[in-house]
Amino acid sequence: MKNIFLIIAITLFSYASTAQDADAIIGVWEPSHGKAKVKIEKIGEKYYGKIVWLKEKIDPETGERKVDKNNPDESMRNVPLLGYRILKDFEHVGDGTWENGTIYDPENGKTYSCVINMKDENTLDIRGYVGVKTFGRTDTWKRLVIKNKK
Amino acid sequence: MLLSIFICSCSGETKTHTVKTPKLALTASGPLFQGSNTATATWNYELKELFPNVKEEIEIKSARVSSIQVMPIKEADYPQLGKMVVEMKSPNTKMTRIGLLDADLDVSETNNLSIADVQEDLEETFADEKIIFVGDIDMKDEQFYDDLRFDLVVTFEIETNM
Repeated sequence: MKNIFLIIAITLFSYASTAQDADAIIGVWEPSHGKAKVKIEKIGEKYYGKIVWLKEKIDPETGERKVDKNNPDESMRNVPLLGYRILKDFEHVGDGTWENGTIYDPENGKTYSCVINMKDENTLDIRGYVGVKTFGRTDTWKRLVIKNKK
Repeated sequence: MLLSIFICSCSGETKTHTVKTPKLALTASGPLFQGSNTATATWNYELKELFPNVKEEIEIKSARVSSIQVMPIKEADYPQLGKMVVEMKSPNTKMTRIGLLDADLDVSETNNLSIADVQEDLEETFADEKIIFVGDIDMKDEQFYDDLRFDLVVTFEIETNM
């Protein structure tokens, strides 16, 4: 009987631990180019990231707020870039890795397969690729850490 | 060869249904801050109840969103709001953008969103019998310390077997 309780306790602990690891990605992150900040959140059982800050909010060509002007779907080209969900459908697969998601590049309107690796609690390697992971590009994102005022 | 032609002609018998969700509670949990805020609404349903006249096992041949309405709730307080984007997903499918309100959200009457021309793989999403609608609402006010709530009604054109 004791063994059963022990097994249940270990199972519950490992489940809670896994869920906590999966949620470690939640937060606000800054890509290496420094032109945007992306908030990663959980919707349902998957993880999504949207742009919550832009260095340049205004499109110099139009004088208006930047929109998704390169979207292949013309009907959606007025979607604002601020608030745009560029990371979609990531699943935690263990070992600080989230897979099966996509990343959208508003610069060219293309969507790439993507895998995210957490190097440490404040650093993500985001690898976008087409087809196989070998042919891709990795960018390092840093967590936005709010410093306490002294 | 003859057999395959026979199967194809039989599978060509389909029926198109207009399916409207009930009023769904689209909610963003406060406190909320200036910029894009995420609101969600979940619709659970059974295909058998939606299509009681389909005699065989229900197959979703095609699915398309035809209308999205976002309605303010009477006597609720609202901050100043901007544009809104609506996406949808099921537990097993990818999130797909389905609509855009290319104007400020009106908190006094129903908002009709424009519908995405490209709607990919909604058949599989609809067949899952659970859809999560995600609304990204731009908030112009600096902060809002309550939940943001709207009613959401989405209409689909669904093609099934007979």
